[in-house]
Amino acid sequence: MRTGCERRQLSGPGTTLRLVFCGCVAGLMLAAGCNQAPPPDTRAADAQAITDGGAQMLKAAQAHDVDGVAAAYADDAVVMPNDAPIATNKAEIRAVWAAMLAPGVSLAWQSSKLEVATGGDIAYDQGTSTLTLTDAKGVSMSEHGKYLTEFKKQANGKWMVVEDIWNADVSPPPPMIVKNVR
Amino acid sequence: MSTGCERRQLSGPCLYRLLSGCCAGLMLLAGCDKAPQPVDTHTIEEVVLSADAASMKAAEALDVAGTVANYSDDALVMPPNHPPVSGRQPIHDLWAAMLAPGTQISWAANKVESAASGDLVYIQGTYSVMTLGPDGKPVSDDGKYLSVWKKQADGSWREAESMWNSDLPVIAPAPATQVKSN
Repeated sequence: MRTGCERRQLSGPGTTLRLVFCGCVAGLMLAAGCNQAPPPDTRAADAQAITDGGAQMLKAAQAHDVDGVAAAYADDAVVMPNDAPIATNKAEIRAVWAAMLAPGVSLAWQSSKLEVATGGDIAYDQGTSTLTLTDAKGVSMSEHGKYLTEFKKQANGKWMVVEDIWNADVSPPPPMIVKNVR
Repeated sequence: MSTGCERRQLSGPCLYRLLSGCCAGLMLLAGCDKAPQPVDTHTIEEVVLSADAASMKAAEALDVAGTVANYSDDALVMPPNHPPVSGRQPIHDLWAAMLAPGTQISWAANKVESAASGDLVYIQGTYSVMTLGPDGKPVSDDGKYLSVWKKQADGSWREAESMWNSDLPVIAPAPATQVKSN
């Protein structure tokens, strides 16, 4: 890089001193002007934090721990359950999950794709889910589906779910239709 | 500001100051082109909302090509009661089936948020659709959607993930005997 301070452009006595001084000033200016360096790339750590949080949420869902699941959502989160109205506050979100985690229900999901914005503030997770319903006679049926979840890093550095939507891959079979109507 | 270089004193200490100042300024400019440019997330959100609205206008007009124009090449579309759809032609075919003659569809964003880094945006909104059933009678549905948009290499914004579902509970078809009893 040309600094405009090459030796041949200077003349007269004291050239070396000038060069040193000029370099010093330039270095200071460089340091002062560029203290807004790009933020470090935290995406790998962010993805790991989101994955860990998702595993915790899944564990809570499998234990039918509604509060544990609801804890994954930010205060301003929006949940869009399949074939049910949108939930826009914690109480509604809790009710969605309480209905979902009814007795006899076993839920599992797995991430297919997790992507974090380069700035490390927003991320999304897309994956597949399986909801298995076992009736009193021990007969099971499964519904395969998919989900799309948005995460946002909160002021305290924790990643929380801000948007969550899921649906089924096929129309529900009759026994599950009855379940949904209830 | 006095530079101490008045009266054409272009030699000695004056040259020294001028060169130093010039050099520092050059370094400031050169060093800072690597600093992150401020991201105008508001404008980004407006651009993505406009693109979503353009897709909606095309869908309203039952223009399949226009409706799918904003999907990225690697987009994943996740309709309810249907497996996920990827690939330009399958996505086109999906929308062609949804935008059958007589269909009335509209949607509107409730919320849009851009990552601070300006590479990822999500939109959450609601839709309303009226289709003609096999008997020619209108069947209406209301629901909600979540989509993820990504900035492409050419600077354009494309929808990379799209999912929606119904607000309405699935209703089991009434048994034929009940229908006849009325």
